[in-house]
Amino acid sequence: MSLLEVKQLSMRFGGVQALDSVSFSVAEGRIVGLMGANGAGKTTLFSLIAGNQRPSSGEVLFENRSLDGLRPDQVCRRGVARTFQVVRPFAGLTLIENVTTAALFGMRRYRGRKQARDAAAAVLQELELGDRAEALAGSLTLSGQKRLEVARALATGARLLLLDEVMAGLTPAEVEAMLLTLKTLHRTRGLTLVVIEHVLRALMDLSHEILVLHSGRLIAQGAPQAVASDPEVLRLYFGEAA
Amino acid sequence: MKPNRDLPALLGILAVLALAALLPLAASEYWIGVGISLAMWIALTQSWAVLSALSGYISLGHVVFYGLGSYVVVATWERLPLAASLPLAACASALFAFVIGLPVLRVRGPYFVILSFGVAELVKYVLIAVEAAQGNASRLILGAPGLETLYALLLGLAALATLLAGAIRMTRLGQGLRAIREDEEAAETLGVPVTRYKLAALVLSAAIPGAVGGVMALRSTYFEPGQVFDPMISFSMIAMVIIGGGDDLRGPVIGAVLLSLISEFLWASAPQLYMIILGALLCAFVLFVPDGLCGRLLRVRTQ
Amino acid sequence: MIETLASGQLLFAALAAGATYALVALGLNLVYGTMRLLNVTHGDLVMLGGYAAYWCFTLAGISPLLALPGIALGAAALGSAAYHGLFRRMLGTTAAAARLESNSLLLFFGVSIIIQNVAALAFTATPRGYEYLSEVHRFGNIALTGNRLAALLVAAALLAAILAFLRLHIFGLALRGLIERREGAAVVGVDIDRVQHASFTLGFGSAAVAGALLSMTEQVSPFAGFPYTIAAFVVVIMGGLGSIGGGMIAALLLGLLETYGVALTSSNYRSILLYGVFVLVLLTRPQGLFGRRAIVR
Repeated sequence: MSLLEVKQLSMRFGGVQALDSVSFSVAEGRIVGLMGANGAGKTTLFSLIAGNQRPSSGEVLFENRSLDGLRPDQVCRRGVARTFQVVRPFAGLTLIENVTTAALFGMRRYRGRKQARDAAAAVLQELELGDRAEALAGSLTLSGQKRLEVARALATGARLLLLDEVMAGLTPAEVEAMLLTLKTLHRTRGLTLVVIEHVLRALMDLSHEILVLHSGRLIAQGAPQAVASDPEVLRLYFGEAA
Repeated sequence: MKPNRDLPALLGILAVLALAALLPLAASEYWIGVGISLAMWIALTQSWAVLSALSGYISLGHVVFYGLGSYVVVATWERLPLAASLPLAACASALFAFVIGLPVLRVRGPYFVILSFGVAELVKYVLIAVEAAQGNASRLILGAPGLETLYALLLGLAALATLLAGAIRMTRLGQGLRAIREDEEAAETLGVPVTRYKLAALVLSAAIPGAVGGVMALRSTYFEPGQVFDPMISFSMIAMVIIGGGDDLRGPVIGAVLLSLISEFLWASAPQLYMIILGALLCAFVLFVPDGLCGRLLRVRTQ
Repeated sequence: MIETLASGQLLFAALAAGATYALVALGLNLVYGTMRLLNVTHGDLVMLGGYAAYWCFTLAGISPLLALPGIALGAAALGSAAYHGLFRRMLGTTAAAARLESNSLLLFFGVSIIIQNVAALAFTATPRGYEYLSEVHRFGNIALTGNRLAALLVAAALLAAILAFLRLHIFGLALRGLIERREGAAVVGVDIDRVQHASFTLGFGSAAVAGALLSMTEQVSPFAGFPYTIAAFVVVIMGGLGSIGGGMIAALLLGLLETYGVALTSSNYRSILLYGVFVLVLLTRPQGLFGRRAIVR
């Protein structure tokens, strides 16, 4: 079953064509990796799916229902959550408050604050942030804040998570840890993930399928090994000499 | 944690206010007057905090709701009983908040602050023109209720405002507003209906100041738009909450008590000196103690 | 009515108002453009400049026009002190979030309250005025008082000089560069600190000069600065935040709007017009007629 279907999605601002007729679909339970150079349109794609921006043309379907015209909070309640490339924690609130907010407002499956808080505490444990639950979000290291981004998205109860460079800026050890966490979460919760990442090794390891964007267009799609040996991809990423 | 702190604070404040209701039995008119002023500021600051302390949209024009409420009561004095005109005043202010809310809340940060100031001044000058066109430079109220009644009304409004503020803080609306204050776009992406919540906070924060304005019109028995829509009222609300502490139900009360005390000593003799002190305190707190006295006390206790 | 509208008299009044607003707004635009600070105390500088001119004239008999350089320098010194004493430290604490910006606006508001009330304590709240160059001159069917003419000429000359400085002198270019693109300016070697300092002193100085010029025709009082702050904001936002040239055009528009608006209705409506335009501008075209920076989502 196709959980997410993107059809001919285009986005134009000013004179720039940020996305050009991008189409793909994501089956339930899959992990799809999204790669491309800076400015290729990856984050724009996420913004369009999550409702932060309106596309110039094209359509996004989630569970066979159009997300057209929905506000970000409405998209979230349908079951799609995203993280931000530059982390945006609720810095003045504690970790538990950050995640409880997501639990309270996401798909609203909880009756009351106590239930939401307990669910939030559980999510923090899964992201290995449980021991710092009462700390202020602004006081965390980058690795912690990236994990918090994932925790919040998870706590909304979303079935589709759009993860934007959650490993960027992490040390190799932290990248390994995050990779393991993501795989575990995917397995235990049956999530569907679309992951933007520059750490190619991790992306190849994690994804069932890879999409490559370049200048707003989808230029390759397929299994990680296939994409890694695609001549067009190699040419754009590594130059003619590859 | 916040919900656990709010409930005892709420009950504590309500208990104090209930006790304060006994004041007229023991006190002279002067002290009842002080009580009236204090109750007024508590009602105003708690209401202001519902919007501005929680959501971060700092309103520098909140006197507009107070003024509109005053106007409603004064304009209907001959025709409506107080039992009707006070709720009407509250509704009129809430309605005005609803009408301007959507466009005004789209503006962010410091621009929202000066915009709110601009709206209040605009309404003031429009009302001055409207009154002038009807031949009223000012209005007098005859047969206003006595001090004890006004005191009781204001105490009731102070209690109501505190109850409202407490209720909002302890529910999902409060949690959503806090998230909006921290990062509005991230909050929306996590499912918070930001537009609806901001509007709700604005409307809820407008109603009680409307009623307060109505009661205070009866206190002064004199209505002149230029005086009633005084920007210093907006400014005082902000200063009291910042000094007392915005993220706590007791903050506005502490700020109101402290500044009312200072003003009692200075207002008659040197009102400008009071304003200077108020300005200086605001600056000091914004720079060095942004969480206010409550925030400072809390941090001291948890150390 | 039509004759009044078509008369040169109103046009002249509108130009004078526009030039004054432009001078007042210039300082705010410079400070905002270079440091993103909305200086709410700006109008109080106008008020203080007015008082300075008043006291110079009534106590020492010095013509306000002659006192201008002294007033400008005094205000510039104040700006310099404010910059080094207060703002440099504040800016250094990377206050980027909108909430901190709201708090800094409150800070300015608090300072404004202090300045206004200190002035009220020191000078009493009674409005003060003086007579200077108030003889009427006639040019065709336009009657002008000498002081209004002088104010217009001085303001126009100053504006032209400052505009030339910004366009032609290397330091002026640095200032514009800083306004345009902060990081870029640093990369090409602009000394940000010096330029910010300069915009502060220039801003304070021009506001005080505007106040001194105004004092020739309007009364000064401690709380009269605020409407000028609002007018300055209208001009800055309408003209595009940080766009000096845009600000000047917007100031002229505001002068025209106000003068003709009041002529068509009555002077009671002056404040309604000012605040009405203010609210409208903030709600509808927050990025200004010429600017690019959005302040709305």
